[in-house]
Amino acid sequence: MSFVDPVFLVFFAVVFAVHWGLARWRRVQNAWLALVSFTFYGWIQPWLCVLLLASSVLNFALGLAVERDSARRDTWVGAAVVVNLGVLAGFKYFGFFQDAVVATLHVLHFAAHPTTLQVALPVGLSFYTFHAMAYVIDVWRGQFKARTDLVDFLVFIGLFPQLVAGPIARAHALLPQVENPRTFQPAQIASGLSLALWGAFKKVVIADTMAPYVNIVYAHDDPTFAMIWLAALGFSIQVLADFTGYTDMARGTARMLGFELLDNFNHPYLATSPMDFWTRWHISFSTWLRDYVYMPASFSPWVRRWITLPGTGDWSPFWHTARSLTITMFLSGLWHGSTWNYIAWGIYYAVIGTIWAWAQQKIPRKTRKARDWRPVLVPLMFAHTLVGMMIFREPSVARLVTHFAKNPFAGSSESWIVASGLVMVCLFGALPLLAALVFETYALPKLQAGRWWPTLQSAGWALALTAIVVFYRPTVNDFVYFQF
Amino acid sequence: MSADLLSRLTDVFRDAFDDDDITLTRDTTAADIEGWDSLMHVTLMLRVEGAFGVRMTSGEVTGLKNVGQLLDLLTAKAVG
Repeated sequence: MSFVDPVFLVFFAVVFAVHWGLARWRRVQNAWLALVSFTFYGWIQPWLCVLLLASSVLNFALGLAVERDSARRDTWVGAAVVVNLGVLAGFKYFGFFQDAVVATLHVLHFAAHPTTLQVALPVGLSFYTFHAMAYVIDVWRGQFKARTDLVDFLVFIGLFPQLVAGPIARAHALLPQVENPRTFQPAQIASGLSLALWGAFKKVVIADTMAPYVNIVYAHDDPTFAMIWLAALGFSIQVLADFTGYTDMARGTARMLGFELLDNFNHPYLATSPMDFWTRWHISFSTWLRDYVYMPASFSPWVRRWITLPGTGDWSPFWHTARSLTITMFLSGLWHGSTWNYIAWGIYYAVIGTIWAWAQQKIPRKTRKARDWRPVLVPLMFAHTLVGMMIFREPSVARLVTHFAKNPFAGSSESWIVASGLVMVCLFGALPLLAALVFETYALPKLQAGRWWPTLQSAGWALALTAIVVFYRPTVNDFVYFQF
Repeated sequence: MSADLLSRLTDVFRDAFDDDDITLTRDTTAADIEGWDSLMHVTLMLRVEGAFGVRMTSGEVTGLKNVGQLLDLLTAKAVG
């Protein structure tokens, strides 16, 4: 079930009413949340619930094993990593082996088509696998006590607002909220509704309106230079609206149920460096990578011993940074998918991250502090982001190479008309987002303190709802991050 | 021992951040020093390893909440 499916509105209305009706009985309320979360996940394909249940129970048991069986705690955490990543890799990289599987099924006289098998790929698996695996690792590190209540744990893993595309919850942030009573607070409900509606607006009005135009360029046989880069700009706006829209809907609906999820974005296109970008974009994923990949990659004796180059000193921080970033961003690319463009995208961020880190060390602090460099650094970093978006969006590496080799001035008069149309599409998407940024920074705090705030908030809801209804199309695109 | 350790650690921080004005206390955290992000944290800990001749694990490095805990960790590793 998707947040922008009309059925979801009915589903959520029922969930909301019963949830708060059960507020005095937290354990019953949690059982209700577990039930509706599994219903949400299995709405289209009920078998997915089996996978979610198996993953939850397995990680619940492994958490207890790590804590109680001190003699074999390393074995249990190793099992958690191997099984979780094994299941994820099995589904995620199935495409690589798909042809062989189809051929085998044909030999056995079963009719199987690759498309049939693709349908079976479970949405959200990458997110809740990371979510569950982190819990077991935290228990192993001694940062968190293993939980003994399975129902609470099922809610922790499966809570439906964050189940399909994050934010990737962390035990220390979400489990205490699951385990403590939640109180009905009208202000919290209103705030959650505002956030969810703004998210739906970004998804339906901005992202879904832009997507067909951007897709045309990426499906075009021979797009011109201007079309390619404007499509990359368009995609960067579309994916921001799409993913922040999803996140806001997730956080908004969770807040209406009394939960506060991690924020996933902080104006990423205002970043001043690749490191800054990753503290602003998909924050729950980048902090996950930092804690469970980047840090171990930096200090693991195994990595230090075996992933090295002749002649490089073990104490060289630059070499450490390059190695750790490469490992982390390679795995980040692989997490997104099994096509080469995602690998190239990961390597790209490792390379620019390393160069920027090196430059930051080489440029004296006095120079860095001499003036405010943001007017230079923000556009420079955004140019890097555009290149990253181009790599991320174009699945064919061969086409990607030709995109970068295009003559900027070539193109028919029709192609320039298409390019000017793309400019309009980009403006259509960017202007509401920029207006929201200005509004949020300068006007919102003052308005929220004024006595007209409830009226203005209601008017905002009505406007957002009207726009969503006007722009909504039944053949709505899935969220971009659902595919991961 | 502790004052000497803090002084040596301050030198490492000043060198890493290229800032001679840094003054460390046990309560100093990443929020108190500009540029102390996750990438810099790794670089810093590697410099600490090099300066004090110790090895740290990722669990130890990620678990540090302030300079005081880093001093305790170094003391536990028999750095004095």
